[in-house]
Amino acid sequence: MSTLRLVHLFPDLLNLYGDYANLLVLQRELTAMGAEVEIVPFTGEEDFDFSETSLVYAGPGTERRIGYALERLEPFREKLSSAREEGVFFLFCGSGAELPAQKIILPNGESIQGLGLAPYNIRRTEKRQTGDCLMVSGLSEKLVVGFLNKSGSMEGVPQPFFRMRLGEGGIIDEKGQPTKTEGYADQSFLATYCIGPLLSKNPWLRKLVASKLFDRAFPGKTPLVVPQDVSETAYQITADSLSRRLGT
Amino acid sequence: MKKQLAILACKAASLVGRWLGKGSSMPGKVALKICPDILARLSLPENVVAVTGSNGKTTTVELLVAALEKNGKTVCWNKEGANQIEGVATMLLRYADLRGRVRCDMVVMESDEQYARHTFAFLKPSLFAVLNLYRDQMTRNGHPEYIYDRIAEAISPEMDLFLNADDPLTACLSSLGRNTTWFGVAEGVLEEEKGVYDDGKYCPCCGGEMEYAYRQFATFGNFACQHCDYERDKPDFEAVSYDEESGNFTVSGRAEATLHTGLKTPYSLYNMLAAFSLAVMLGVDPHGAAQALSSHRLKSGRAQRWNVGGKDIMLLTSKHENSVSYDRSLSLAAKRGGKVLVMVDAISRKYFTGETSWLWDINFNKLNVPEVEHIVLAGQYACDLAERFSFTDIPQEKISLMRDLDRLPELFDDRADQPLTVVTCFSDRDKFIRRLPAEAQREEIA
Repeated sequence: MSTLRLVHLFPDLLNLYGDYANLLVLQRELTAMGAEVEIVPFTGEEDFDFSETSLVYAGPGTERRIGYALERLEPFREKLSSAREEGVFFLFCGSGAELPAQKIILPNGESIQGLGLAPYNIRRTEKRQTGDCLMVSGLSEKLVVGFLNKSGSMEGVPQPFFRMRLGEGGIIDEKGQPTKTEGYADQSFLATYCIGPLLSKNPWLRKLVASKLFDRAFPGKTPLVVPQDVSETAYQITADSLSRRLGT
Repeated sequence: MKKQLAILACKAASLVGRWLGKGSSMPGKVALKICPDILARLSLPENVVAVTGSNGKTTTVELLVAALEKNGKTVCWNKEGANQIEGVATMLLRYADLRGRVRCDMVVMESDEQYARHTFAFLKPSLFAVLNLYRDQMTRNGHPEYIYDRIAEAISPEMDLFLNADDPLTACLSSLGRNTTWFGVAEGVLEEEKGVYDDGKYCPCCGGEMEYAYRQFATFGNFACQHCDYERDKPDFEAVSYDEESGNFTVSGRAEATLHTGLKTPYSLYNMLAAFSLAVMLGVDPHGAAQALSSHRLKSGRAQRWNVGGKDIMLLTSKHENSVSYDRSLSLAAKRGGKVLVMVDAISRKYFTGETSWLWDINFNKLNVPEVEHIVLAGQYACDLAERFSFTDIPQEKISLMRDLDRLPELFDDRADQPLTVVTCFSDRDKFIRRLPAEAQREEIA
């Protein structure tokens, strides 16, 4: 693979909170590491090939638009599953995290089928949940800053990716109660309800995803060292402000 | 008896509130406590107009009331802008006699998009105006379709509607009311302005792809769905020409008139067009309405201007989490050129939040014009702004950071011939104003 291909699923339909920035900052990071990178929009082209891809990404949309996206992705279910099995990285943010679920249970009890790329279900509610998040993961001592603005929750997540320091998180238990956890991840998959440019706000997480993509595309090759940029300071200011609310 | 007591209590609380200089919703709260269904017990005039929308409702209401009052109508309206049920109760009871008759020719009220459904349960407007629906403070309000659903709950089949024909999401509401009167802007009147995202790309009714014969800004334009039969309706009141230099525009359709808008933005044109159309619908002569509106100086204006030793300083206040409003301010800043200060010190008026995603929805590339010589990014979130600006085409040497707002006075001392335009939000506006030098002369925006 000479060029890293970052595929953006329905960029016009699923882009509610400036989430396209996740791909821009990832592209810049990977380029600085020494890779050639292209961002490719996917808008439902019949012959689209997901196998020659490094990353498949989807951001949030309105509840209706998540439904439209699922309808349009239905013919690509097998191709996406194969890409997942081959180790292509999948990243879903905000309500985009509803797409890979097994099913989405609507407030009226009906359900719609998800892409089945992840083990969890989504339970939608009429009520919106909003709020700042301060989270930790098992991968770094660094905190993750984020924001939730959603009307669904994940349930049946086998290993939540983040534990909440601040905020309720997006995962509920079998009784519908918040579990103070958020997101689902495995070796080549990350889905979180956090909205917006998560990888811009959390430089260390951006570097982690970028390293995974780089190492898979160029096994054995050492990336160039990427200098710190202003996003580090921006991250620290927000992390410190949120930490102060915890009294830490 | 309860009714009379509630009216008296509200009037008394209003007097106390006025004396203390606060409390636009407190008197109504007191009245509702005494008589929870007080609003349903009032005798209202025939015309009760409610105005809502993501942007411009306060301005449009102020303009509409000016047009009505200057043409001899007595209007009961929520001057202070309190637009939830307590505020509406305060407004009506101030005008009510002890028998509950609201003594005015008409009622005009600004309605909160989310709370209209609650207020209307007690006070149904005869005419409901929805100006626009787009991304606005989504942390507080939710996304536009969420707001659409809340407004839809407020509409009943006997209600007449006044809708923006150019906005596909707003126009969808038409099927829920009785008669719809449309306002809009004709082709070629405004220059097309592109934003970072395109919420108009897909049909709000069926999700199919939309096509636009022309576009004004955001989702506004002459749209038609390629999948279902949803398309723009011909406006009853249409702006058919606009001279940006003078701020004059002409209206055609159900009424003909030429109007003048002081703040020369497409935004102001839509607000004034809506106010003009509503005034005419409420029985004001078009010529009288046009005259009243053209000469009115907005109290709730979002633009303020000063002269500091010959330096022209303009402050443009937008809601931070409203990219459409922000884009409009940036267009104006780009036209003025010189130095531009973008200040983000607090994200939201109501909450603390580290949520900066809306910065990525704003088209800062609008400032990438030779006339803009320098851009200063200021406030607690200056670094987030810098990260965002690093993904624009603006040469980085034109940009500097100023995290400490106490350094703002440095901006007043440099070249007097270089105008300064400040783009910020309501919660940060006063942080700028209080740092202006004592000799700053306030100037009127013509």
